[in-house]
Amino acid sequence: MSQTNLLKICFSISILGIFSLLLISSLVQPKLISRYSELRLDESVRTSGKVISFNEFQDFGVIRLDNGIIVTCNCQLKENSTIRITGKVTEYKNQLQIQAEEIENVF
Amino acid sequence: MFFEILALFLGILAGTITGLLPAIHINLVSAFLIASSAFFLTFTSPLVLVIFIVSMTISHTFLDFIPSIFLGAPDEDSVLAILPGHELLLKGKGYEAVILTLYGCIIGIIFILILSPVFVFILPKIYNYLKFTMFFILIFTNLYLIFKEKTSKLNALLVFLLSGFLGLSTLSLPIKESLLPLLTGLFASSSLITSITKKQKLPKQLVNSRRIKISKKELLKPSIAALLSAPLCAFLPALGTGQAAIIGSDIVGEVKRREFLILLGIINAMIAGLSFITLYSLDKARTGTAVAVQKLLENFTPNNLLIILAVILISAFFSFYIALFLAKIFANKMTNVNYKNLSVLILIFISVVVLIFSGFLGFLVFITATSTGLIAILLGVRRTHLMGSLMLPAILLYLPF
Repeated sequence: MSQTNLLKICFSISILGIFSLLLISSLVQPKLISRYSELRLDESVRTSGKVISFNEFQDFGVIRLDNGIIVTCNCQLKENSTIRITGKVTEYKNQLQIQAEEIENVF
Repeated sequence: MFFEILALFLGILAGTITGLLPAIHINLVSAFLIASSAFFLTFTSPLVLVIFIVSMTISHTFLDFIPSIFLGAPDEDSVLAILPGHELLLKGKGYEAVILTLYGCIIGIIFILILSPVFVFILPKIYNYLKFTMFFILIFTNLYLIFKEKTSKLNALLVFLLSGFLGLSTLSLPIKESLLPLLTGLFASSSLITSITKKQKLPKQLVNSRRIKISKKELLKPSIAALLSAPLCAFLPALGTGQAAIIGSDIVGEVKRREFLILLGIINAMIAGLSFITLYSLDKARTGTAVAVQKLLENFTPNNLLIILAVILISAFFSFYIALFLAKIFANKMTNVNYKNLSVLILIFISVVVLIFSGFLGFLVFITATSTGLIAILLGVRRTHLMGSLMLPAILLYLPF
């Protein structure tokens, strides 16, 4: 097979693959949000931000992010770390918050 | 004390295995260790697990040049070693290529000790200023690397953007160990396919270490280049060995093939070791293994740091001799092995590993990444532009507006 043909095949697979992955990610991913006002009860969401404060209670922890979103989790975190969260929106004392299902340290 | 020493040697053993096996990265072992830490912590302390992770990291750093040079199957840290390493391999000097990287690693370890006080006392003071300019530093670094491309700047930009979008889509998908299919596809499998399509016969390898001479002059240039570029990787997200090596070699002027291998060894070791020092000084985890240490050590004390530095030194000493020994075995056996069949076997092995750990969606990433990696090879651009897969997401993360 000539190099030009191989290059064409690779381009086709690469572009088709990237578009398929983008399509799949838009279909399977929880909605990406960046503000408290975007929270909707019972919705699966993703967000990221810097940990402003982390308060640990007996069974869970409460994270306050720099975008104003409050997250509850069963985790150990340090202030000032940047994290990415996936979870479900729940309500506590008339305030919406994310119940974290997955927390990832970004940097 | 028994458990600490046992962890040190088990870490070296684990790092030797992960270093030699293509596609099995230390991050995978660290993730497994964290997932099962509840079990391990019933009979040992977090510090013992940290010692295991640190010694595994250092050992992996020394060993992972062997498969990159002899098999053309690198991980993301040793990808640049393929070209100069492979050239020497085709001249019967594969063993010499490994020795050059090993000397580089030893220099890198010495630099870690020298730079540790700077990282502990000075970096925290300047980091806050750097953080706000991170976005611009990342943009500038990438533009610089694209404009330094010798073949075609447009092709370099194309490869950067393709891999960047691939990285963005991959990292937004719920794939386990998402970096595994992404990086093995971009770097390892694409190299292996190239090796399979070429009819290569390896010449007899020279394994007499007494005939391998490294002058002080050859060590000086890469050392300066590494000192100027490697510390950047300690706090710049997504900046890896490849980019640091190019930036460093550009600063000091033309670097010869042998010097470049030494440079890669120094930078690789420095990034691995300094990631733990950065974790102590900035509380930022720059690598997968540093994330694991961060999760294990709730309170990172100065005493912990001293223990980690000691572990780095001891594991480097043993890893150097293990790597020398294994490189000799590789060099002796390689000429008797059918290189094409071996590449096919490794490719199958990597594919199976990706399927097991990342599932079918991960496999789709792997195929796409392999094609993207092949595009870079076929266009003849530097493969460091493929690190756009991590750079572009990092740039977007630090977007100031």
